[in-house]
Amino acid sequence: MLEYFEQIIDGLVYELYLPEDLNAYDFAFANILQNENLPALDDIQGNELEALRAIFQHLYAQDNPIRRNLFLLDTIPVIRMIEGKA
Amino acid sequence: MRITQIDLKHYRGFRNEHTLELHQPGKNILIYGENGSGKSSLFHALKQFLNASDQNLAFADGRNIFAEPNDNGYVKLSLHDGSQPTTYEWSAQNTLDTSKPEILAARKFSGFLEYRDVLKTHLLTPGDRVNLFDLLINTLLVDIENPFTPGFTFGQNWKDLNASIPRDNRRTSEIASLQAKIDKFNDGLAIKLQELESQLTKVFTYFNYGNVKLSFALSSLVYRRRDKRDDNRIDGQKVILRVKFGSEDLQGKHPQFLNEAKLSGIGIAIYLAALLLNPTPQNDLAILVLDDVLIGLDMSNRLPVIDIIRNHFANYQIFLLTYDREWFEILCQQFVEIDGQKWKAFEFYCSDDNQLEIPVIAARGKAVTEYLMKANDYFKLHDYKAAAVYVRTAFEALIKNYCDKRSIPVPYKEKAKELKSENFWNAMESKIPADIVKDVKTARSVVMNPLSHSRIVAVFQAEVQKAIQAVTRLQEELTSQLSNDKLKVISSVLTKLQSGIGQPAQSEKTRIEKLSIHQLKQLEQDLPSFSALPDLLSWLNLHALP
Repeated sequence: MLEYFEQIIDGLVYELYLPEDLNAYDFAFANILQNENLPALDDIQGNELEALRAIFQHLYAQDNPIRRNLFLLDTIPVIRMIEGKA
Repeated sequence: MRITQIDLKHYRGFRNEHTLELHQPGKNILIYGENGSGKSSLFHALKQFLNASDQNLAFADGRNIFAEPNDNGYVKLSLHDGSQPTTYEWSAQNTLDTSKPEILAARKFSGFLEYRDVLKTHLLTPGDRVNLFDLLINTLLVDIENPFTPGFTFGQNWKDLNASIPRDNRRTSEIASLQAKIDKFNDGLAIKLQELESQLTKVFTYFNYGNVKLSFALSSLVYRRRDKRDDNRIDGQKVILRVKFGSEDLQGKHPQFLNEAKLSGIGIAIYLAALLLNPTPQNDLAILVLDDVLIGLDMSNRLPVIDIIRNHFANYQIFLLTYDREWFEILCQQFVEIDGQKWKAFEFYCSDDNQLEIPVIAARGKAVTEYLMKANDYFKLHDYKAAAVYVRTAFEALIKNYCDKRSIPVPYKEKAKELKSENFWNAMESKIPADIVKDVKTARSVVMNPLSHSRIVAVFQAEVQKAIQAVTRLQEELTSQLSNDKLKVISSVLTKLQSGIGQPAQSEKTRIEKLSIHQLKQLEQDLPSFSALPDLLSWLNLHALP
């Protein structure tokens, strides 16, 4: 779960620094996450771990666009270069 | 995004240009093909196209060995994403297209499965157990990301682990680093195997082997320092497929206890379940190609695969390849005849020429027309040998279909494949107008047979052309007989004769009934110029055989 959240953060960082490269291939993270209305950590009532696990399961679902975009992130030419896969 | 057209030239079995038109929006396809007809060449063309960039595959390695050295070959895929078509090429001259993001994405999503792969799921290792470690790490999970090493797949992990084995055990930091990597590999694999097990249970349920339960038993990888026998190494590459049959745990020895159908079912389920670990493709190209993977299953055990495809691979473009005619017809009934907008069937044949194999491809149902079109195309290109192969294929398809539709008895052979075109032709010859029989016989003896075999003969342009014309006329005749058109034309001609020049004699009526549909139409056109019955007799003497 932690690793998946880290991957999402990596995706957001790529989008922050390379917006045109990602948009050229219709890849987005920020907008999708914004539409999810995720709670701030401090606003979570009750068992935080359970709440985080539920968010993880939702974002990790096979048909969630975040999962698809992370899966295909390294097909984008500039990302391939950065990650040494070109 | 789906494939709307595949073009192959000089690739493996495909000498010269061949096209599979899949239309918009990119239909799923069923292919029936004899051994050697090019099914596996298509399988590898698609697989290698998608893997060309990632695995540095060279087109030259798959180039048809009979192609002219200076004539460039290629594999081209035309893709349509709903708005516009784009063609991507893989050839000796163009390797860039295969590294485009949409093709790399297709590689990640797509699955290719052939019977040999299914066998790997029940090969016993020296320890008398089925160990799936290599299959999982090098094939099924090779592109699946290890959740503990974001951005890196199990395939990459495994390469990295092997490259990280220290040569010198005094290098403790290297050993610690390797150990950390091993831990992440073990943890990630344990999680993925749980997911795989869950998908496998879902998929395997379709086969209705209620008394067979599947699970994985994973041994963790460990680093071993060199000893008397071996150098430094990683041990523990073991993922045992545990099969519970009734109340018995078969302890990884299931190939000794289960029948072929259950073993094949398990193998197919493992592969398809592994594909379902991927996220769902959205507007991405994702293809699933199954090349005769069901040959170990009887018909009732094959049917669940249809449901699996329908329920779990709706976002994939499906390619089902088989050499089993009966299964092909069932698949056509299940897919093409129910949903022709989404499915298309092809038939692949192969010339039995020992010198040069030429795949013959046509859409099901339109096969004869397409073969004749190809014959004409090759004729125009002055490739008379290829033209003859297509004419002969059209002829064989025509006469088999006619005998089948008219229930004409042919000699019994235990193996249907041993039935020769001669058997069909002899059985139906008496039902064909004599002028067509004469031309077809000439075409068979002069063009179709000798040219399609490995004899060296002089090829004459006019004879090939006559052969194409003869088979085209035969097609016209048989089609009209089967659709009863001919009876209607005969009846119309006789009515017009009676009302124009009078009732013909019985002998003339018989001659009219024996005319080909082509000749009947000609007679119908010429009728207005007849003033008396002798004109009809003259016409018959001029145009028809006595």
